[in-house]
Amino acid sequence: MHQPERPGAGGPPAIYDEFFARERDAVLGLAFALTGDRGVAEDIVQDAFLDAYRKWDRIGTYDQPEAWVRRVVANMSVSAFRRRRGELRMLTQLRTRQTHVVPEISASTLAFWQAVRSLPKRQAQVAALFYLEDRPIAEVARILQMAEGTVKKHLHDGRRALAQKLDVGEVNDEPR
Amino acid sequence: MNLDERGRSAGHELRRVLGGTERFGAGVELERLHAERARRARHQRWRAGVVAAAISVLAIAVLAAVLRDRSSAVPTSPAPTGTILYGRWDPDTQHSRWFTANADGTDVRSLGVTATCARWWPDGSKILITNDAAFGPGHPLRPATVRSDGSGLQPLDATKDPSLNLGCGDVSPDGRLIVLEGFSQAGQERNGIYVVRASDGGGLRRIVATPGRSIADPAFSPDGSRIAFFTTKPGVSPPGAGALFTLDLDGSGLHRITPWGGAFLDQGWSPDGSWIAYQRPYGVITLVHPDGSDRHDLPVAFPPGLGAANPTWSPDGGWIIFSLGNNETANIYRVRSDGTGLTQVTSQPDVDEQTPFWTSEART
Repeated sequence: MHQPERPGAGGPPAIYDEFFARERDAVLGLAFALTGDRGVAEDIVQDAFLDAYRKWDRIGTYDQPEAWVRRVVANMSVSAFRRRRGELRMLTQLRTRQTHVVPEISASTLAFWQAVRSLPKRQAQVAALFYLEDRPIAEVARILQMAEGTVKKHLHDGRRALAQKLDVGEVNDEPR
Repeated sequence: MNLDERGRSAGHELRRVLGGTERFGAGVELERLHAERARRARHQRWRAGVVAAAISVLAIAVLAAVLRDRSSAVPTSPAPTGTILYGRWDPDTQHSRWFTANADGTDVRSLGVTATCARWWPDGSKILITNDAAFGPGHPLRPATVRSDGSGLQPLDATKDPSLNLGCGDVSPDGRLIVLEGFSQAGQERNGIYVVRASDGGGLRRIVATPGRSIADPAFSPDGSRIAFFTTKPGVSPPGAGALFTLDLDGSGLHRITPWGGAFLDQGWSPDGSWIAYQRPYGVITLVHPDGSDRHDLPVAFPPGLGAANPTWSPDGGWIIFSLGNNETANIYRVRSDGTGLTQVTSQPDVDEQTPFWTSEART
């Protein structure tokens, strides 16, 4: 994956480059956690940053453009049948690319994220943001544009399901 | 180790591994390269744009003169009637929301439906959609129908195979079969074109296998005997482009009707079955006979910076309807099948409207 090629004259200012460099690894981690496939995750992240690049005049004015790109990636990652008319490229790569193995990641970690991916869509998104970047409830809610109470409910249900799947016992402590 | 400790450990390890790979370290240099290339490209693009515009104007004028004498040109059409179905792409959720409007673009109504694909049933009584709402772990993608007002979701999920997804497709003219693109997320060997019963989605039958290749948008010919579809393969340029094929319903007679790299997704049969309209990269509506002959671009000039996609036909064959825009926003337009009468149909600003389909039926 690399930074999207600049589409033409008068492109976004250098602050986009800083944004891309600062956020790309964390966003890739989010995409990988939710897809389990390095190649697919890279495609998703590149598409999301390309979208941000094209709309940087607007997105660059947001208080938290990093929340926008995480929301886009979270939504794209849980929808395996991502389909955009006129952009078959994404779909083509999803269907033809071989699954990428990331041998450096331990079996325990892979098992954890596999359990996250088996959760219902919203629970998986909330759990990924909560555990991957250690984000508090309020930030997860802002990224996913949900009420904090909704995030808490998804996280509560997701953690309980994860505890069962991973056989680590009941969860008693309340998240922030 | 409790759940939270294990989760945070898993998050830390993922960040460490993905953030420290060579590919991402090399990306910093790529950024500088792209920045430099962009600076140089600005000047080249400006000059190339002027030359391309001049050539385009000349080519369109010549083509229009030639096509004026085509014996197979479809005669002009009276004022459009019926109902248009189209999607509005939401980049934040990566889904299309679906709307209907009168054929002249008035009385836009939201269906309250989110789906990857949607198209009219042949008699206009209902709409075939991909049942995205039910798609998830343990629930493969299946088709469904809704009424023309978006209500009454009816899943067509009698095929129980959990490893096979059945995506976008089309209903046979007699309303008895649905042809669908099939694929498995576990591998590519099951890719192909499948047929199911339109009544319940059962009776699965694969009519052609395309392991390793993506299949998209199979569509019945108006007499139901043949199917047109889009496919691509590794190495085709430009990215996202592929070729259109036709084949018989029994899987025989496979025939490529465009060059590789000469077509983008979405194609539409003319109501008499004599033409197929599609998008040639980039943004050019092109017509071809189903046997691949007489391929030519529609002689119509679009406003600078705009391109066309998703062409389909009006029920009377007099018009081609399509989305016209840039890479961010688009509206629905129509043009006569001889290239005249370019007309904007929808006019909502700052939206990306796509994939229009036209039925002769009026809404109640």
